[in-house]
Amino acid sequence: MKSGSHLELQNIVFRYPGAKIPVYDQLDFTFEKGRAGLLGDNGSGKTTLFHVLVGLVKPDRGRVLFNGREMENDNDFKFLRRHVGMVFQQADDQLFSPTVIEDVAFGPLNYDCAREEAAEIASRTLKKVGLQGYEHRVTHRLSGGEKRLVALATVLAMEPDVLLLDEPTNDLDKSSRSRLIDILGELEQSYIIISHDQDFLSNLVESYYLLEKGKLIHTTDAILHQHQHFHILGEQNHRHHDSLVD
Amino acid sequence: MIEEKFALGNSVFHKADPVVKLVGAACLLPFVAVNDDLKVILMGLFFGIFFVLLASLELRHVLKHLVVVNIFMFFLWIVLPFSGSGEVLYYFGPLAVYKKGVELPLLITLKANGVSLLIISLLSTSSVQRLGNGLRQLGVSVQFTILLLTTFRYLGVIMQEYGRLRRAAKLRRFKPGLSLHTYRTYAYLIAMTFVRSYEQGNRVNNAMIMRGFSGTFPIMDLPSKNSDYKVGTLLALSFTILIAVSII
Repeated sequence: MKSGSHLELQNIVFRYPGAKIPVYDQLDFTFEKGRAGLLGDNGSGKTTLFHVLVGLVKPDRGRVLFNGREMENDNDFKFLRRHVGMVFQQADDQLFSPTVIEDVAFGPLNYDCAREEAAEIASRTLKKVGLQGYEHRVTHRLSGGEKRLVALATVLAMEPDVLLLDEPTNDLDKSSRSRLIDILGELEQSYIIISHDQDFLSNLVESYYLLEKGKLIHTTDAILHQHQHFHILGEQNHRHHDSLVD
Repeated sequence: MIEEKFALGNSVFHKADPVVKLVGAACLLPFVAVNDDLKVILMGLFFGIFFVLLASLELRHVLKHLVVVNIFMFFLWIVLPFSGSGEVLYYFGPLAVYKKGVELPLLITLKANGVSLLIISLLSTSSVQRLGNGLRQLGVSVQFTILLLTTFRYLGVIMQEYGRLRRAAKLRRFKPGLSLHTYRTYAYLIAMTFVRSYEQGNRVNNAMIMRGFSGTFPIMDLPSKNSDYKVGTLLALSFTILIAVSII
């Protein structure tokens, strides 16, 4: 059974400063548990939707509900943020400690975890994302893929019920990407992923939210279709999922 | 990001509470820096060397730092000995080398090296994050310490951003010259760097809020009390010796 929390947006209206057309026009959203993808064009407000959910952006109108309770002030959102974790688009924005363990333990320590406990949670979380032994590595010297995984670990260490992932495969190479798919596939948490990488999404999520013209459409049917795709050295045999084709 | 080469280690200096070291540094550094007494300066240099050895830092890195300091000193040595007045040591062709002109750069060189070694052994053996916490405990305001810590962490990122913008300009065949176009381009570059840093600052702040940040940076390992006493005593003793030497 996946853990989850009931997140709800009601009648959200939001306009970016200086914009004429609101990015959300009476938008409604509900999410309980499971794994969902959030799709939409550039500038359709996917990231901002996450920010509204966790109270980093205040909508012009509308309500944010968490487990049925309306989130009204900063303290409400503080409470919500203990249960809803967010992995940001740029790992560099998330990592600021000199060593990996300090960064991963930052969240638990902020929530008054004892040092030993925080260190233990951090080590356990690093193991979960396949980075055991990285505790004392210097954060800024890690590769892009490793940084991404550490950023994920910093959020997982807070043991949230729901994860919000903003373009987690951005700039990842093939092997890091498949590693991320494995890790996310194993998680017991519910999550919502923003991604343009639809192959990646189809590996992980059960339903999709489509953000279009200020509204959200929720669907569980994804259409599997075949299309041409590009292979470097296409003349040679290559692996195609599990079968080998010419 | 600026590297903290000396911050990791297992010596007493590494294990001691930054508060103890900050107080020690606040006493020793200005005392050596403003003193004109050769004995005190030599003693300061001696303590610097002694502490660096105690901290078992990699000497190669320490020497690299000293080279940078001494490059500045080199320029003093080119100019100062030939300027001044009074007693002449010897003549160097048509130029006179004055005694005072040699004494002054000598004092400055010894002082600079001593102070650098003290800073390396006392302050660089704690990460900036821990020093920030130490400053907090000593009553420095939260705002100041956060400013210090985040500036330190993101200076490198901001520099990268500026480098990226400059490369973009260069790739479009921008050649700096004495023209309004150059000034305007540089103004744009700097302004864009500010805008982007501001935006990044917001993003970092958001990421920190999401992880429950409320103004203080938690620290992972507690400094060992034992090392605190050792380093505290050592620093108090050194300071007393310096004062004694300056009086004699």
